Amino acid sequence: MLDRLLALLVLAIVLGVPLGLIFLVTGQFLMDFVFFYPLFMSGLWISGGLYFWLHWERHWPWKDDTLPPPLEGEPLISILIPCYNEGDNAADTIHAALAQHYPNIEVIAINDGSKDNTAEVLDALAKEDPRLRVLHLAENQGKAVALRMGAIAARSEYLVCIDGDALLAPNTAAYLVAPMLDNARLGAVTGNPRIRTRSTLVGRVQVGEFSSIIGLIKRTQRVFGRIFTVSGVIVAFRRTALNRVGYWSPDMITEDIDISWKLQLDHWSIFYEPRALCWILMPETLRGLWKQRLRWAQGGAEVLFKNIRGIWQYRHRYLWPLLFEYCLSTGWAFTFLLSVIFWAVGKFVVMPEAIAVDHLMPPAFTGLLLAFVCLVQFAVSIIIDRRYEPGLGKTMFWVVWYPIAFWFVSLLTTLVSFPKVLFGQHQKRARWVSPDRGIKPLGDDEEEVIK
Amino acid sequence: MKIIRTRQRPFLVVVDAFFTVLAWIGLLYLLARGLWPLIETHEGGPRIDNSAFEALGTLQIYLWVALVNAVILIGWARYQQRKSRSFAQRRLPSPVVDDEGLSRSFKLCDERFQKLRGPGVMTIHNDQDGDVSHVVPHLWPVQPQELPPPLAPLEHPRVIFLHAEDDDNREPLNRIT
Repeated sequence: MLDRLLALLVLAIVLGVPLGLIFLVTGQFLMDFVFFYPLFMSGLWISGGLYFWLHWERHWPWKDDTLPPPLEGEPLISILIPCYNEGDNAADTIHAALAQHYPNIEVIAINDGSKDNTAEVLDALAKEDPRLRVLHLAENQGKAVALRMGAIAARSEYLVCIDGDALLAPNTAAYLVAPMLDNARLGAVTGNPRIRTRSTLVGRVQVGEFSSIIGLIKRTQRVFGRIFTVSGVIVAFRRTALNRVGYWSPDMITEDIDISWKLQLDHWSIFYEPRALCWILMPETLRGLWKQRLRWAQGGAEVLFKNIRGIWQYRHRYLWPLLFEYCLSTGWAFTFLLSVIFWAVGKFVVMPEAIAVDHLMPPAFTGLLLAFVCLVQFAVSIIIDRRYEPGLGKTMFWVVWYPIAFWFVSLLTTLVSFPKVLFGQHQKRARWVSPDRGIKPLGDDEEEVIK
Repeated sequence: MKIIRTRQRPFLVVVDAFFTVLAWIGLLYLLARGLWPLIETHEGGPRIDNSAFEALGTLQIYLWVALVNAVILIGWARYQQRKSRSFAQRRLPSPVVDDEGLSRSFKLCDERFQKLRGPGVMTIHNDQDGDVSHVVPHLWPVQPQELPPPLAPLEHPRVIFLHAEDDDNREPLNRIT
């Protein structure tokens, strides 16, 4: 009951604050916030990304023959791969994991009650290499439980967790674990996911989005010192840290956002390591993209709602800016919605002066600035990320869609997910859904090899 | 690493490219639309008038805001770096959770825990809460043709005799020849 009341209060705030501000100032203020908030955030990400690059990243050697930092004592690294219906991808994923240049590894594949031939593929692979261990879960339990089983079976303190479709670059495991050996209070290190599926416009736009937005956001958050979420597809954990916070929660729809907050609430640090490359498959249809982004947005809202009561304690003050930024994004989505409603109603009814919205297009000078900042953001992301993907500039032709892909999808998913999480039935277990993994290549399709 | 580019219908490729070019034109239009009023044509030639200077003033405000944001972010990062150096606790090795701690966290008995640590393949049964209720290690059924060939019995088992310095003082061995 208390949760429901709290949910109502949160919704009243996200809707009431923009409305109150409109009546307090003018409808123009509403539109200003709609245009300036993306501008403001973009500026912040550019400066954060540039600082990360100038201060640290550009000094890190990166050539074909560059070796990762040596790991003192050569500790064992356990690579956990939860798989659900990954019969088509599991072999490639496991071969890439076993091909790590770092010698002391074990790979644990967790077959989470798959309905396809994943079990047979994994069993066959286990016979080939004794470093591979396979755990079959008798029934589908969800990614969080699969990872928990992997964490028990793992013989190492350092757990590198990837998805069943993710291909590790040869030095990724070493890059992820090295900072944990040097920093005793480092709980997790998140890597750099790069997209392999580039067949459709949706796929190609995401290549630019991962560089222009996600890469810059992660660098900025690392500069700030707190990370909103690790990338569940490529992340390393210290098992002691996981043990302290009770491992992954089986009831959260996005286990990666939840575990990031749990670790940081327990004062563990999280780093971002851009050299830890991992090649992933992403949705290539609008429907697939929508489902994925809706799940991410729901995950963010779930975590906010889960922590909303405890986070106000003074000892969690370092997480307040992340929370504030999340609330601003949500408020921005609802403000945009209100401005569209007021603009549309204004076409038929004479609206009061205070809430009248005359134009949805940005004013000329603001439009100029938005376009200019977008271009600067593309340029900065190419400068920073081209070392990891030499042909990145070519894909930037498609990145012009990123403001729509990112801001509009964020807007719509926030509007749908927020009420869904606040008023929906809380599930006891978050189970897998078969994700869209792009368009499968046929025999004569083009496959470009990147070193 | 293989990048996947599945062959698309040419029509769709043309549509993608067409709309992307349109989007770039839209972006450049936003740029031009913002710049145009700043340059007012006067007696056949462009002339920058007062509105341009006003716009530059606004731009200056935006730049200052962006700069202040950047300075706050970077200042905060440097402050945190400096502060973290003074925390000796952060440099101490962290305690490592041992097997006993792990078993306790997952409510596992020793036998089940050891089974989970075993090599090869196993099936795990979970209860309603996702805890481990049963572990079944898989033993491979080996086909007769997969078995290594049996060792041939030696007709005359041999013992290799290694000579030592004090052989003469030892009792003679019964050598099998």
